[in-house]
Amino acid sequence: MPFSVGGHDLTITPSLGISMYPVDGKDFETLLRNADAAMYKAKEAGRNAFRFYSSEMNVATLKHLLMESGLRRGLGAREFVLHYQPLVHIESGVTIGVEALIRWQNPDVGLIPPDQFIHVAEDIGLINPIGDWVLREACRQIRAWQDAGLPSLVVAVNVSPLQFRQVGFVDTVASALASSGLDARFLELELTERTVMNDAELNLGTLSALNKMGVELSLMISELVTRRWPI
Amino acid sequence: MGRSLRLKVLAEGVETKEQYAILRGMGCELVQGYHFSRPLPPEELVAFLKKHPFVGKE
Repeated sequence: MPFSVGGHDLTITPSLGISMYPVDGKDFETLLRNADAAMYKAKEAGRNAFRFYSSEMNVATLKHLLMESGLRRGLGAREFVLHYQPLVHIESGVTIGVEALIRWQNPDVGLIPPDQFIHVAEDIGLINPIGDWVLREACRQIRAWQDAGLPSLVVAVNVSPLQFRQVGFVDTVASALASSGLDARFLELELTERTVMNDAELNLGTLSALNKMGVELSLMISELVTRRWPI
Repeated sequence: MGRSLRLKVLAEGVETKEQYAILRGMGCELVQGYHFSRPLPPEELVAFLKKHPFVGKE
């Protein structure tokens, strides 16, 4: 039920985590930590929910922690790779571009798809360096293919909301183009609806600067996309 | 909707011939998905381009 505050209807969606003495912990610290783990489960369940703590939650937390340290190491150790999926023109059946999609080549686990690590990268503030790497690498690869005599493909790159809103994003794009030597019209940035709608005034400035640079912009409206780059 | 706003319409995640036919009927211009190719490592993409028709941007 919304609360009326100063003429605005505000709705809150609390997430509650519950731990019980003594089964879930014998001291304050343990109880609080376990309640916290349960609260994150409630958030994952879509908020506006409560969850009781269970010991499996700590296994999930441990996996999360391992992934955090793995991601930090992976970025430094160049463990990320891009795969390219053809974009096909319907009328002619001709490939006119590719979409660059990140994969994590983890030395222990193998190839990890983005839906399994992007949300963690967003949580720990690694999404900007990873996103910037994707931009630079996609531009470099497409330019290298052009130099090798392959057709002048367009490359589409997903931009996460956090990356788009970071200070200096326009400069990051400009620098990826400049250092690769790729012409701006071969780069297409894929933005989600939510990315653009949030703080429209700020975003309009960024969009128009990118547009002036000659970069193609595309707006994704499908659910499939938010699943691939969870917000 | 995309077309009435003069936006380019791209459908992602096309997996079957039926989905492709529907999108074609709707006037969608660009598609991507497993029906055509899964995402490929760079060297496999080069092989794909050598086997399938492509055009570069002018």
